[in-house]
Amino acid sequence: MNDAQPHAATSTAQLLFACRDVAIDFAGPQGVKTVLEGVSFEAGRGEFISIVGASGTGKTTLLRILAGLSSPRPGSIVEYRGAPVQDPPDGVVFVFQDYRGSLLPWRTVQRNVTLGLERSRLDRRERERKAMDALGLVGLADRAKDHPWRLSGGMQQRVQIARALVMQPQALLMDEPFGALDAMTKASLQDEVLRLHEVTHTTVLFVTHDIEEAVYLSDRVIVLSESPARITADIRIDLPRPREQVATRESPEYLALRHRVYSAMGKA
Amino acid sequence: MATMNDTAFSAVPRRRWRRGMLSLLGLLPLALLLLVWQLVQQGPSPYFPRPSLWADALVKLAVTGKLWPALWATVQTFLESLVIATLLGSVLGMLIGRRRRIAQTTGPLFEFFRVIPAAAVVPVAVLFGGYTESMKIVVVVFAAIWPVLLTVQSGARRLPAARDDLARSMRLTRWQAVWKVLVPSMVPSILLGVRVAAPIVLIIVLLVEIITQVPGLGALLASGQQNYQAAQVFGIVAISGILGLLTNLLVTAVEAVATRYESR
Amino acid sequence: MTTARIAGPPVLSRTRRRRLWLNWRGASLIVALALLVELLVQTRVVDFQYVPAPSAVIGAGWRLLASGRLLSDTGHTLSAALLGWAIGSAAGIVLGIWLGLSRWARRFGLTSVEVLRAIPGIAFVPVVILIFGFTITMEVVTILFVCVWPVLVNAVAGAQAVTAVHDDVARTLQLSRLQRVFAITLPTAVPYIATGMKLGLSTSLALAVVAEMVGNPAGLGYSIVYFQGALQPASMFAVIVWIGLLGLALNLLYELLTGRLSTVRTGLAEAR
Repeated sequence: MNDAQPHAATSTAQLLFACRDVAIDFAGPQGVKTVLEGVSFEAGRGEFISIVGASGTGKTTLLRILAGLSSPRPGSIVEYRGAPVQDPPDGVVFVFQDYRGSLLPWRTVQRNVTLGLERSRLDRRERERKAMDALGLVGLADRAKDHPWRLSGGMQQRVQIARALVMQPQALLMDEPFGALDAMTKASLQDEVLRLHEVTHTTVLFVTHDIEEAVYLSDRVIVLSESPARITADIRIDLPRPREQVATRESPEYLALRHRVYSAMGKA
Repeated sequence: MATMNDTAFSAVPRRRWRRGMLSLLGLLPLALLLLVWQLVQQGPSPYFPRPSLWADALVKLAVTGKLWPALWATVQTFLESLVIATLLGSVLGMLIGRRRRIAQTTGPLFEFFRVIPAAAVVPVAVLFGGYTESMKIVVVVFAAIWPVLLTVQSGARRLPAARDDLARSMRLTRWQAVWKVLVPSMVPSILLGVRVAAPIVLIIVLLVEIITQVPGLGALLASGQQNYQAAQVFGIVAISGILGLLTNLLVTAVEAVATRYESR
Repeated sequence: MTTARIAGPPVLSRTRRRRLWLNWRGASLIVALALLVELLVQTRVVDFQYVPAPSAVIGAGWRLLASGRLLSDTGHTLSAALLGWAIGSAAGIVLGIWLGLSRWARRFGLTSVEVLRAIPGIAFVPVVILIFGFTITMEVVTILFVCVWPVLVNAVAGAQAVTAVHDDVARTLQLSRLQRVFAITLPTAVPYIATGMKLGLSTSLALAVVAEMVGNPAGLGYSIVYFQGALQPASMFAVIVWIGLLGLALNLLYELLTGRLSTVRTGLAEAR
């Protein structure tokens, strides 16, 4: 099978994101740099898709374009549920790499989680209840009244995830969420995300530079080349679920897929 | 297929206005206010004379020989006081900053002096010095010395220990150590102190002139107010504003020198 | 697991004991100086006609306090100062946040702000006296006008200090404009505004004194001038010292109220 061929989602009804010919340019001190060029792919409902590539290739930029946080070059087609993406679309939430910076230090954990709900018509008790549910999902219900600076890095990241989940999004866009964490915390958070994905059936687009992590977590791995980045591979990961840190990572299928991803990156 | 040539740089910031245009646009509200004032206020007004009357009053002051001497008196006091405050403040600040004991001892006393409003000091100074130029300078220096002192003091405290070791290892005499190592290291702090002190100096100079009516712009303000010459008062306020802007320019220039010095 | 800390108020460990540390050296300097002047005056070594002995100053101060004059003067001056400060700060916050958030407002207004700000605040005193006469309103208006600027400038800086990440968070959670201002912009700006307000506080006291010296014959400023004219230097000095203490007390109170409780220092004493 040719890894460079994009995978179509199962059917258009199940299509969540669709990109065609997405490109973006940035002005820098050395002139204009094209970061993405001709990126096209589709994401279906409930899929867990990882986007990998060398550092600085534009993975985060692509994710931000999908999240409506950055604008691509005119002519790019970015659609969420059939409609073009201009501002952050309803139902899509972004989880930032800088968890420390993204939480509001003057609010408690619980109030951080309710931030996105304050726009809705729910009254305060409803919001608090939903926040506690989300915190329960990530296992931090007992820290609800603490301030973020009292929590460890891993816990802060979980708070951010809870904040995203409480919005009950259809798509969760995660930008290297575990990059700054130690190995043990990373492993436990990976499993937590897998569990949440299973329970909520949210579509997850996951940017990471960690190939092992990408293969372990995803249904599909998209590989971006160097700038101007294009998709060099779109690999289906058909490992059985539920996945397990030791068993899955030692299986020959896993190793084979891992090898394919590495080769695809080498091709860039 | 999209090529480089037909891209609009979507991620590139929109083209900026040139800096000068930008600043002038910002004056719009003020210019509008003055214009409306000028048009609305037709007759003479005891409280809000229109801007053209201010100009008339200033011209009258100039013609009768009152304006320039007053302006010069204020500027002269400003410069003299700034220099003295900087020198005194720097010397004291360096002394205090180097010895923690001295800083601790003088701390409360200086803190107390710092908090006394300069206006409250004026009657004391008048009692001792009469209504003279030197009395003005004493008051201004007393008020403006603290920012210089504080910044130089903290700068001296934060001096890396390596500087002292350097002086010793080169076997410099006390005098040489001070002039070749200590003082040049303190220049950025001193300049910072000048930056903060300059506006304060201007304010206190005017303050003393208003209270005591010792010759200067402030005296013209006070006499204008007492004689119900509103146009004169507004006119002098405008001139004070110009002086204030010039002081800001001075401060910016000092800052530019300071940063150039630092990057060496 | 390591504890990551976001910038925030200092963590108070549960086993803190408050100890009071007194600056003996500093206190003794003040006392020593006072004793020196006392000695010089009493023995007539120094004979300036207008240098009162510190004992005389304390005595005069005590009498003024007892007669109630000092307190009523303080009431007048403080109420003018605080009222002007409060109104000026409120205006500064509103205008500053607006300028900080709106690029258009900045483009069409910032230079005007800079020009108005450059006018030395003291120059407004005669203008306001002309318009409002010798009243407490005159004091409040002067103070108001001057206190706006430090708060405004700081509020602008505070509003613009919102980090890019917080901005993106607001966008991805789809917060409305108003929500963004109250949930993110204002909390970010609070420390800046607090700094500006502290500056304004000391300015307000100083301006009130000036206004009373040249304008409104009431309050502490007027008392200074009164005692100067009546050739009662001891009482004059007493009022001046009192004003200094008042300024210190205001600063202390402000620090306490803005929650900087963990270390409160006055230079003379420190609560650690």
